[in-house]
Amino acid sequence: MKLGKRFLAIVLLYIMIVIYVVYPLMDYGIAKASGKEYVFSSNLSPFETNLGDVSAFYSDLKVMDMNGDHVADYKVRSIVSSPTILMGDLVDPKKTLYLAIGVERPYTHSEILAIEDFVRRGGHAIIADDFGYANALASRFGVTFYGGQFYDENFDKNANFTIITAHLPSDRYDKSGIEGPDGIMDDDQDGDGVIDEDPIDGVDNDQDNYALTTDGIDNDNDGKIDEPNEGIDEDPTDDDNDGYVDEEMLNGVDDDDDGRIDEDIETFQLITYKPTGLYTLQPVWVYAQSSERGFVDMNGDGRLSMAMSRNEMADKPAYPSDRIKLIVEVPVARDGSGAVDIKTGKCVYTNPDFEKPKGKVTEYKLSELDELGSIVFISDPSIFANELYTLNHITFDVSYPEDYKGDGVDNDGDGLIDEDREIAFEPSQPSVEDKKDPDNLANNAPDYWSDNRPDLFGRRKGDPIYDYDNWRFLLTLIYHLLTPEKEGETLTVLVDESRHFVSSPMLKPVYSTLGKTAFATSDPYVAGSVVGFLTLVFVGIALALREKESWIHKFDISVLHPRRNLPRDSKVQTMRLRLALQEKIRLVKGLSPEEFASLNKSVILSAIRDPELQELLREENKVYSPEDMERLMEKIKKIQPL
Amino acid sequence: MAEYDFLEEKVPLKIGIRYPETTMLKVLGFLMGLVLMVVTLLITGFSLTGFLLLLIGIILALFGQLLTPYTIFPSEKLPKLNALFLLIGTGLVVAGIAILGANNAELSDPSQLSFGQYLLLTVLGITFVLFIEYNHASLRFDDVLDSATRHSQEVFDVGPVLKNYYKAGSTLMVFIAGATLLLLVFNSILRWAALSANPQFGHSVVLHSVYVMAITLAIVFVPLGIFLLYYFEYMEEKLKKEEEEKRAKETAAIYT
Amino acid sequence: MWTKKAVLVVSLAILSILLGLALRNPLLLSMSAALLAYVSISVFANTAARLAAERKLSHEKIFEDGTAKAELLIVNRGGKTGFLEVRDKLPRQVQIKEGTNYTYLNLNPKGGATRLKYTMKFPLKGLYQIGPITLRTQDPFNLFYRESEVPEISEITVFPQVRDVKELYIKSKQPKIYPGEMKVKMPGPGTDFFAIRDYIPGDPFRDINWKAYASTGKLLVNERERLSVSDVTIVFDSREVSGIGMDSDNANLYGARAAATLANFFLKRRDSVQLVVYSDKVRTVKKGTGQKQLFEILTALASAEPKGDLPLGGIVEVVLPYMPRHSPVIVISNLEEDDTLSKAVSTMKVLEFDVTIISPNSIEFEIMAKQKKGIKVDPVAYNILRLERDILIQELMGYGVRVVDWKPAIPLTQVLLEARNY
Repeated sequence: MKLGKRFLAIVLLYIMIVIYVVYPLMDYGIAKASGKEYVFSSNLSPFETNLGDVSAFYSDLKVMDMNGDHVADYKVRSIVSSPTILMGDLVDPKKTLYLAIGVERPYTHSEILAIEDFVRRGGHAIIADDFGYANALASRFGVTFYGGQFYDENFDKNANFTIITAHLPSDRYDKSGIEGPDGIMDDDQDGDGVIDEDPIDGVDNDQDNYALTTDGIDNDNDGKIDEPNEGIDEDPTDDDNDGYVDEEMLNGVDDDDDGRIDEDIETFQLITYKPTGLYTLQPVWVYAQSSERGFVDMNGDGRLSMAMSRNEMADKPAYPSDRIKLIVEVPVARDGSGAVDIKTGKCVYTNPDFEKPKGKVTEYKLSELDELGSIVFISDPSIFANELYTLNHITFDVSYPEDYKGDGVDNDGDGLIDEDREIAFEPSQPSVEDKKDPDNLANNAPDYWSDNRPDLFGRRKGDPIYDYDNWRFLLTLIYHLLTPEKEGETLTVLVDESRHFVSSPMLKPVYSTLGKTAFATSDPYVAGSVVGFLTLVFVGIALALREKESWIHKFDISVLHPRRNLPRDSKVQTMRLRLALQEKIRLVKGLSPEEFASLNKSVILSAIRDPELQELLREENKVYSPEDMERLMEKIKKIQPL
Repeated sequence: MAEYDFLEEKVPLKIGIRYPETTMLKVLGFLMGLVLMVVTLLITGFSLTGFLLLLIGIILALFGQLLTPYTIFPSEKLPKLNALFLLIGTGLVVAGIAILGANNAELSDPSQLSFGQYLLLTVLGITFVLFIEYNHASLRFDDVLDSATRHSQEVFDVGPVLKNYYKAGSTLMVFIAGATLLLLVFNSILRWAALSANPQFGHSVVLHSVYVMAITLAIVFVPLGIFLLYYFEYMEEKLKKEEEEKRAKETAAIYT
Repeated sequence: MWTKKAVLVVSLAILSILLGLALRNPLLLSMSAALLAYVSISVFANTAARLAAERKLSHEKIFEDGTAKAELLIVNRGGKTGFLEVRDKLPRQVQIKEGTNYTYLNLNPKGGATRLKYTMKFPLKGLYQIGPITLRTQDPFNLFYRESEVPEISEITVFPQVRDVKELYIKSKQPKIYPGEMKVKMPGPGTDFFAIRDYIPGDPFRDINWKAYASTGKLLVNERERLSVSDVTIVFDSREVSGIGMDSDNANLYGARAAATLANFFLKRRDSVQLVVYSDKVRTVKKGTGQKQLFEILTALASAEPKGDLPLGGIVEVVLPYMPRHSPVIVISNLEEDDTLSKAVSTMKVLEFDVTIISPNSIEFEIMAKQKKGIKVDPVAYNILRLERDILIQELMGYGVRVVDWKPAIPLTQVLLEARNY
């Protein structure tokens, strides 16, 4: 017992030492040995204010909460341990957005399952990545991050700062159902901002997708505003002609009194830094894609080039009909089968763990897709970073691609003509301007907001208007994904900090322990087995533990002391019987043990008349039954001197 | 030797109050069960399954009070019938509370908890402890009386012991309630401290959910547990030695 | 020390934490906090009173079935007693007839005292240790306890019962086996003439043979033959196997009663009695007479516990030189598990000792005990043992030794009668 306690204490101590000392050291050692420098990155943190962090975005999220309209009440919480915490019911998926900005650590299998389960149950997630660490997760929704750098013809002075155009269908934000927007605006969802490019068959104009119309009118003119699958605001134009397509607040109220609520699709100019591209297996909602001339540079040579060897990856160019996708949203089926095809509403079964049913596949109505959980993939996490979030424009001098003119002349003399998708590398030496302004690559001298009315994000007169719309796009995207069902509803944005390396070596083991605890208590199977196992252990301990002795005197003189060598089995009994017979004969013959031992066996046998007793003595290996032995005993007793 | 007959160890199975001295404890135990039920329902609202589990648990615990310690398992280490009822009853009560209070995000988040809610949770915890304690104490004193009458010639007077129990027990319970409240309030302190030290951690989900309570308990009780293990190991020995030394000096002069 | 309850409460608390985390249930975690507070505060609620105690016994030496009173004075030297249990530790073979040896106490911190009185009855012979006094303090909730001892120890010697067999002896018409007065061919304070020797200063005058003085001129004295009787040796087998059976019925206990009764009988008759007890060692009470000798013998018998496995053969060799030749030897042994028996008996016989063996039958003791306990008895195994025993007894009788097979049902007096009736 004494040893037991000491042992337990030592084991506990040992476990704590392992968790808090050995494990972090080993982790550090392995990282060092594998050549990966251990980065204590503070990048992309919502709680730091460096240029590389995302504090501006984070504080804007809080501002949205404080605009007085109670349009939405966003709480920002961080996940420090592991997204496995999303399992179980710690958060309500329908009121929660999971946000991973920059993925530096790949997802483990249980983390992937946790996120998958979360979106399956109606949760929304945003995964912003550029290096492709999130591919293990993305591939389960039919999406792949290319990983190579994306270049396009539009960039701000430096080809690394690619400008992309994004669209968000604003109608879809109105979930009040008052005006009955159809929820399927840009029906082919190619992110071109063009809606209703279909011919109108007069019946169901939103479902057939085969021609273009950009008239901005209620196309079928049937006068029924509540017609199924048809909305009145399916136009990409500035309906109220006030010069802004995005003027109205996305609040289900007709702010500009034009009789249309939340009507305009919004277009955003996003500035990115070294983004990558996305490949999708199935049709998805595309919010941003490349121009016809964009490409993903897979071999890292900075230009669109052919693969030079088998080992080299070929660059991925955009085609007019198939551009490089940059921001996509994938609706996720409730049955866990993975992504849903947004054109047909059918499950795609991208989840490799899910067995495709033999019969009919699950199918959702297109108007139902909005109610599903979804996951948004953004090919560049830097659009969240403080530096780009509110960027006006870039003041860097950069080397232009020298033969971008398209004049049919090889301007840069490299043997290629009009290689306007060529982009030169940044010069290794900063320019004079760079030296003057080493900290800030951007010139943020923006225009200012002139309207007295605050916008959705609480910006009033005198607040800056930036050239790029990163901030507006991201906030709108959040709102789009996590729209309050009713006024003043509290919604949670979970920023996953566990995808970054932990900045404090002291917190690392704490997070790691928390992560393991979260996993052990979140997965119902693991939690169940942990609780079950511990219950068994405790029951065992309780049973093994001696209860304190009762001191009430118990008088007892009935304790049994049995003999140790009772002849129990028949073999021993037979042997003892045989010895007893020999003793008896010796006694009858009046011999001493020594004399008897010297006797010939046949002489001894001749002293016995009974054949059964003779057999007992003769056949030394024979074993008798209890009844036989009883009989033999009687016979032995009867032996008398001759 | 007829006069030294063997003791009949088996207790017959009977239902009823065995010793009137412990009736008060039985009533208190049952009462605490009811209070526990009311407090739980006040906090969580009504759900049929949880309510039924709680109710059945309380009734089973009460029923165990009225049984004799009848041996149903062959081993002495396994519980007797009345203790078994108490164990099952307690299990059902825990299960009922587990179902009633599941997914209670509001009460898990120290940033949203008021002092009043902390008090309510403390009352819940203490009521549960009292429910276990009174029920068990009643069985325990019953057993003391039982074996005293079976094995000893003299009637054992449990009165002074019970009086001492109520007195010392109540005092201790006040401390326990205070400690529980402190432990719960410590959740808020922990969150606040983390927020100022490391906002990333301070804003984390774990510090705004049930995990913060687990962290608090771990912070307080893991070192305490390790300390206690050593305490029992070494301090006891030391105390024993000291006592023996002192006694050796004093025994000589016992009749003075 | 932790009680089972404490372990269960801590287990429940830990499981509540896990379950609370898994179910996101803050109620369970609050309960767990209360449970852990309950346990950890109770650790420190344990009191540490310092107690002193002293015991007084009414008797220290009694016979079987006798009673002794104990009085325990317990004094608190400081500290609160809290939930204090006090027990005077008793062997389980002791029956409490009155009072109690165990109680809950609540004593004043300084100088508070109480007395615990109880009467013990001792049904079996033996050397009993009373005490130490054990103390146990615990917190009010019975979660932790601490035990300590007051090393106050007393001993009570319980002698085996002595039956009066004189009556039996008188009634008997058979020739004696327990020898009466018998000339032992040694000089001593008898009446019959034995020899004449030279006067040594100090010899009584009435012993001077005046006739011889007249004829020889030398002072000579008459020596007379010693009148006393015989030197009886009782050899008592207290080996481990003598304990076979039950506490209350076994060869050791029965044999000791027989030995005590015989010793008493002989000593009353002014014989000189010597006792040899063999177990894991040999203990000899050298021959002597009178009340003091009986006391010594009874003490030796009381403290003879079943232990060890010395063979009789070895004992005989060791003690033979001290045994007066031709004197009666009574061996009390169950004759179990000893290969040297027949040799030892034949040796004694060769040296013309008058050997009687009283043999309590351990086989029957064991069977009886098992039947009382409701344990199944294998008839074949025991019949074989019986057969072996019969053959052994037959062999011993062959040496001209009286052997009494003492089955549990036969009363002691009957056995002794049988022995002399042989």
